[in-house]
Amino acid sequence: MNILKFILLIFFTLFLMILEISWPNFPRSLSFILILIIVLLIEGSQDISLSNFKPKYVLILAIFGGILLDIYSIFPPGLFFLALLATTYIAHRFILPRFSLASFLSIFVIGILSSLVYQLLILIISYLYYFLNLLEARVIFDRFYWTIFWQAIIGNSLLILIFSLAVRLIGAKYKKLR
Amino acid sequence: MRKAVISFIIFVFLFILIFLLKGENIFYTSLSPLQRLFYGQAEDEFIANNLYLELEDTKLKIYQAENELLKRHLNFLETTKDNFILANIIGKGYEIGFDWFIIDRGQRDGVKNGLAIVDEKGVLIGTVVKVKDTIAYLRPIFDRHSSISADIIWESSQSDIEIVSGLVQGEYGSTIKMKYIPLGKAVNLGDTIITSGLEKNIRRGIIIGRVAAIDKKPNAIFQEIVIGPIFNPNFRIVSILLP
Repeated sequence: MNILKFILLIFFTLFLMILEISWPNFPRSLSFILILIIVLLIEGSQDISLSNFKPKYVLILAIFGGILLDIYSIFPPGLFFLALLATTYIAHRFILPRFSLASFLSIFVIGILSSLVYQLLILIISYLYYFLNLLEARVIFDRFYWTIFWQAIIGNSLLILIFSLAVRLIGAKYKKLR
Repeated sequence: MRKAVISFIIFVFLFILIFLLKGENIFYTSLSPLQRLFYGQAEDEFIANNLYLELEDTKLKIYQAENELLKRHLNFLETTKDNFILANIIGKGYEIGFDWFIIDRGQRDGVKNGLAIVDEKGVLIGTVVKVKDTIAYLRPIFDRHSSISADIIWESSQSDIEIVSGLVQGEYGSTIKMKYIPLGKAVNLGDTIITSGLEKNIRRGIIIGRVAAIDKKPNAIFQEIVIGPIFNPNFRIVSILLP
């Protein structure tokens, strides 16, 4: 992959993080960096639009995005870094191979599973921090928490589907022009 | 295998550099102006017309609004004679039930954990929960994990001033409740709730809100109060009260 394209993608990730943290009207349940990573994993697979975007670059983006989110979070460092890294690995190794990436329903299901894995990993790691006394409060499983939990999963997976579709359409037009 | 080991060593080094050797300050310092721009501009009206004079007029109105806001902060702070630091909100976050805001003042400006943060009317917005060199994190009082010792003040039927203590905690979404108030205390709607001074670094007398609803469950030992918050929900400039 072109090093310049990769550097641009790094800056794009930085921009997404600023948008996520500093835009007051940003929906609290969405995660742009997770959406970017899953879309790149899906579209970077063989025979789909971004065929020269290998999973190792997605992993590096996940690490960079995770570190950025950790820097601006209230939690001890490592929560988002580990969650994004593990989600990327699990999505690439176990989720994507089980689906046909040509079907939009499959992409939606991949989005749901990846978001679910991400939310569960964040929950598990936060509890680990709580037990290690690195976090002074644990998650409270009330009605509000579960509402936001499912909103996050559905919202992220819908956006993964929409952006995957957009990347494919743009990729197809670009190939025609070439 | 060798590549994996080298990658692992690089990541551990990056982690130590960023989080333990304060390399994160590079991000705080370089991104803070952009964050302030994003957070501050998003609520302003969108200007469709590109005429220079209209833009300048809008900028003047923004400065005027900020000036008014700062004056109100100073009015409150001069009255109470508090030591304070003014700060901008440059970001916010939410994850697994934890809410937080990011302010552009940190350890270098004298900010410490546990300090009270108020709006321009002197109403408590939240407390500082984490401090870095140049930024700090605010936990709002409506966060589920926020817990502040408070008092309710009211005038009884015999014209005596009564005070009862309790604990102010965040509930679902933006609801705030005061808990552990003895059932025998006759609290009224509209009574004022203030900080009790029992928290370290938070003085007594900072207004939190007013009694909006009273919840008395049968067979309960304590009653709960729903607090109507009176702080400005669109706060962008805040005051950190120093001890």
